[in-house]
Amino acid sequence: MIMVIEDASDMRYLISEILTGEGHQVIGAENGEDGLQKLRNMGTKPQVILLDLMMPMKDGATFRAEQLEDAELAQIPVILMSADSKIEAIKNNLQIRHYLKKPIEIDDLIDTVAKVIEVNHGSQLHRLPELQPS
Amino acid sequence: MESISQLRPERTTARNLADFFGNAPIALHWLTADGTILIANQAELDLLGYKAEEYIGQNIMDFHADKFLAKEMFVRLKRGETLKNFPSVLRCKDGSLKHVLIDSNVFWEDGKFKHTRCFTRDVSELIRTQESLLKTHQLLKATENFNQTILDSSEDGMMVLDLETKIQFVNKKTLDYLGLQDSKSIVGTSWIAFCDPELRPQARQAFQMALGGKSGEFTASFSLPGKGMTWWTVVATPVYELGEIKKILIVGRDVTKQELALKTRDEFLSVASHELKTPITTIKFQIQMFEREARSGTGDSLSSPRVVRKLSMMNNQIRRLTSLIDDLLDISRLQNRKMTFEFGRTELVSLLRDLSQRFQEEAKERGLTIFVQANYSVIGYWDKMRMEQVFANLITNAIKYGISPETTNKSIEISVVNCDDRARIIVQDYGLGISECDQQRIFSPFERVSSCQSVGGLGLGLYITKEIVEAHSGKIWIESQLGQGSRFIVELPKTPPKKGTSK
Repeated sequence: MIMVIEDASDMRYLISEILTGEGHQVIGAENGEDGLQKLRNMGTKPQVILLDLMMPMKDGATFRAEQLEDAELAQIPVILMSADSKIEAIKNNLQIRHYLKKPIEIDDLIDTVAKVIEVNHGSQLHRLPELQPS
Repeated sequence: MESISQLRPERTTARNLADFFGNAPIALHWLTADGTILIANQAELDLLGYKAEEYIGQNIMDFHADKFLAKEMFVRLKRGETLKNFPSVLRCKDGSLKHVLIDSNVFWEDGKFKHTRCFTRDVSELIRTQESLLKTHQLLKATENFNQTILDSSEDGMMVLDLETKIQFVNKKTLDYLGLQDSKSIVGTSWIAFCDPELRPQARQAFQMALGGKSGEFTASFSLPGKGMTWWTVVATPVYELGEIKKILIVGRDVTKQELALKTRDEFLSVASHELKTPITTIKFQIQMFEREARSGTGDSLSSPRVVRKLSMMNNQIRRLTSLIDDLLDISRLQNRKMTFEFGRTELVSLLRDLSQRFQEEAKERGLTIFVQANYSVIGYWDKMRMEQVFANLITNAIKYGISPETTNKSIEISVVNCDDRARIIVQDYGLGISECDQQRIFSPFERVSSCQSVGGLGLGLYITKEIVEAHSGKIWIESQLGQGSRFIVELPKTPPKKGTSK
């Protein structure tokens, strides 16, 4: 499952459509606050979060900070989406590894999501024993 | 020639003494107890310019310019004192004054005042020199005061340092900036130590540059009491005295305003690029999706409702882009004073009804409904297109900010009040509202209420709106409370403004 946090409803709709077409299940959120609430209420957490930077109520940076503070959510990989020319620096500041620069190419979107899910799935399997010490 | 040993004292004493007295290079006179001049030598006559017969036999008081000093001298002499370097002023024959120092005491015989013995030295030259020195000093002081006035009236913060970085002087502006009453606490301390620790290397380098005869410059930012963050350019310049570097002048220029303007511009550019790229991203996405579908060969799907929806989305995005670009063009017209207006007979109520129709769909998507309350026509001389722009802006804002978690009223009310020569239009929403301090800013260009920073738009709408209303000689203002919705009021005179068609 993939969460798309994006305030522009057209954009959210299109990303969902593309990723659904790729066989993913997609859940949308209107802003950082909406995203956090939905994440906390979900039993199974999404495999990746697509995160827009500029949003009302709670922007992408604030969302990310609060996500990292929440032990249950901190491990979910995030792909940052922004038109900002300084996106490289911003993503590093937010401890995010992957980004899509707007305007986004559909192929990039599909590839990046697939890559993150694959890598993370692998590494999470690898890390599972550490994550559950007891 | 007689040798000294051959001079017989008993014969030579009186004559020699008279000669000694008469030709001594220092002025000498004897006075009686009442001040009559008994005898005076040539040096004294020369000093004052009198002949012997004009001087000897007169009372000394007549020659003293300062009678009080003369009297004091006499009183003390009569008490038996010996005066040394007693200052006095004598009047010459030509009326000029001589400053003199007098050594004097009384020759007593059997307890009786016989006569005084006064040695008078002319110190006029010395006094003149002293006076001219004093004048020079006063002049310097005046120049110093003048310089101080200049330094104090400067908008820049200034400091004068000695060559060991010690602060010697600070101007008024520096004290103002630092929030200090006087310079006591900083004069004499090191300027380097005065700077924030992280600025010290740069400060030291600038100081060294100045010591080397060049100017050293650096930029600094720090927080000041009551001012928050401030930005500065600091320049250290050598001050020469007689060709040698004697002091270092430090000038700090507050560039906070410029820095903030740059920041505002950068923020605006970042918002603008985001706003312009967002619709392009969606349009691009949709074109790519069509392309994929076309490639995969299912061409018949191009008539499906999905395609219709995509095309309508693309159309909306392009409209949004166009409106953003229009705003940018308007801003550049306004800032170059090139916006033109075409005033003509305009009916406002039908214009508002048309607008509310056009935005009803958009409002509905957010769960809002637009009402227009006016049962009559309101006619004035306005630029119809610009009026549409004004109210489209206000309605768009009301839709954007018209919903708040605290309110249940989901309406946007537009009402028109007709009052003789003016029309008043009110656009009321029951949404987020705007705090008092933000109300000041929203009509300025590039400003948007920060907490809603990403609601969308360039933050130019209200600025453009206000400029258009003012070009119609009208007024616009807001009444709002945070969380209580906003009420924008536009008041327009119905007659065309006197001042031409361009702003």
